[in-house]
Amino acid sequence: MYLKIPGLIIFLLFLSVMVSAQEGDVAVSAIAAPEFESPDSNFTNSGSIKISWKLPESIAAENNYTYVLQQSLSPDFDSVKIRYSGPDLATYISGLKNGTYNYRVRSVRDGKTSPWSEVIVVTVEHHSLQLAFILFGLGAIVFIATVFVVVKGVRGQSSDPLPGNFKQGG
Amino acid sequence: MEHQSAILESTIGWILLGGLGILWIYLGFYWGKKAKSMEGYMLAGRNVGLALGTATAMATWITSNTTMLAPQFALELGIWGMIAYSTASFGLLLFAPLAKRIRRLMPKGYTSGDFIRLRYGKPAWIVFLVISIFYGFTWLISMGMAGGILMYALAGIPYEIGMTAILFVCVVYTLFGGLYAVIGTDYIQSIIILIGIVIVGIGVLSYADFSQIHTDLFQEKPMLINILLPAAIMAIFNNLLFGIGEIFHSNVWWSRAFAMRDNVGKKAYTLAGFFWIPVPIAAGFIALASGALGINVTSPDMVGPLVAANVLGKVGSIVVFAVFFCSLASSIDSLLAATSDLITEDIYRKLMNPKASEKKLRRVSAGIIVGLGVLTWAVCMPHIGTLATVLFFAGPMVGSTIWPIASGLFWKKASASGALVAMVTGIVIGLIAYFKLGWYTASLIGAAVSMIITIFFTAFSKKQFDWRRLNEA
Repeated sequence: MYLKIPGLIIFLLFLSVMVSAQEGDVAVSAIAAPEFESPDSNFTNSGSIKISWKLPESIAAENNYTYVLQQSLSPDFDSVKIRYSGPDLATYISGLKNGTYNYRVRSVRDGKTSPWSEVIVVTVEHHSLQLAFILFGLGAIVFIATVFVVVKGVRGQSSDPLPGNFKQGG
Repeated sequence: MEHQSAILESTIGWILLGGLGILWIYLGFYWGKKAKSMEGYMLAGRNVGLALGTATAMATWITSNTTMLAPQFALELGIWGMIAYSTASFGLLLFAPLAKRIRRLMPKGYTSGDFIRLRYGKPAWIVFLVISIFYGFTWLISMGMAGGILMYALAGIPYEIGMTAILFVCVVYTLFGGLYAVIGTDYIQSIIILIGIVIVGIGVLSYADFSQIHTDLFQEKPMLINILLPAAIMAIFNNLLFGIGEIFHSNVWWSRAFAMRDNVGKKAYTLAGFFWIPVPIAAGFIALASGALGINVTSPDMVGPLVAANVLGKVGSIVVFAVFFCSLASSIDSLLAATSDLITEDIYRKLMNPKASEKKLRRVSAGIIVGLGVLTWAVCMPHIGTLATVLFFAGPMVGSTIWPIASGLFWKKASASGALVAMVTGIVIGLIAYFKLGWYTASLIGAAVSMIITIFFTAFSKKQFDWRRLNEA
């Protein structure tokens, strides 16, 4: 029994190191972490945002890097969604619901991963539906009124005097 | 610029760019031989028939804004965004009766500026010219930017080189061919665009698994399939009114109304409107499929060309390249010609040199085309903003012209002061909405404010305009 407990502890320690190494929480190599370039604003009311990143200047010329961008509703990234994985230096995310989203990115090269970048936080707060419907109604009124002016104008134009040298039906 | 994986080898991209460029320039020279007089150069002899009229209206309205912005609308605003974009066809449909009215009232007219000057006088005319030239210029910039983005997205050709090449080709053939070349190339371009869109549509439909697209949207972009997405609800009438404002005021459409034979304009614009409706729906749909197809989008205005080219592979992407090149060229040439006409006729001839000979006017017009091309190139170089933010900045301006134009064409009591105040106030309040609420509200607010002011001033106006004053000949 006394021998089994240290064995179990050693096994659990080994397992935790393996898992965290797999998740990249521990820097496993010296390759550089990317830095975020955008978004310019950390707030959007359309639910769309462009996120871009870059490598530090000293290694920017190397092009065999790929990147992984994670999104999480939790600042601790307890539960994550991979929003992009590939060689591009940006991605465009749209259709987000109201909420506060955390993003982090890291680079990958030859199977080695960099540490995670600093986290950026983006708040999505859509316009109110009340405002949206007011503007929808206003737009409908302007449109219907415009159609009315054109249709009524066309029907009434036969009574207008024509310019002097115009031959109708030419 | 962010790295984005290209679809075509850049060599193929260069061959396509060179081939299409040489073709348009050759046709520009060929058709340009017909333009012997200034009226021929500016208005294609006022003799454009139904087939060419319909094709030029449709090809011009299928711009980079349709093939690149409509997918962006779908990507940002979802299902409603797609529908919102297709409402721009109402601009063509409502302009159809106006085209007939314009020909009837101004049989010898040249530009939309002529109408505003004769109908409302100088102050409103100056404001209108500022709006019209600013809009024409922003449209040109958005188109030049689109050319650069397209070349980069499809063939990896650097943005600066692609943008320069497209602008150069369009400037050269418009310069030599005038409206004859613009309308002639539009006809061929509209055929290429329609065939290309059918091929892309079939390709996407055969590739896309609808349930997979729905699952992807539901999980990754849930608001895009939400019928109550506030920004999308706001955008519907904003885009509709933006489209109406663009067409009602812009000399691109007025010059075609003057160029078409009597009784052709109404039919041509109506047909073009109906043919145009499905195009943004098809273009928007492919953007919604981007996630399910595993395509990364680094800039929202790239989504259309990227998805189409990915789905169709390398051979298909040649078709896509040709379609996008044609959609850009058919609009850039029209804008160069129409904006040059506006500046030549309204500013140079009317303000600076009323006795200028035809030869002199032709030289001035050519100089303006080149100048516009160079200026557009200089502004496009830094690649600031997306297509939507560039173009929609002009939204409140064009929205505020709808009512002064419509009421001016049909209401004898519509007053000059009303038109002036409506345009200025519409622009100011529309721009406030642009910055406070978002670009998807600015045209709507500008048009609404302008409408209220126009109706108010007309109600209290006692003057009756004599329509015969519009015939300046």
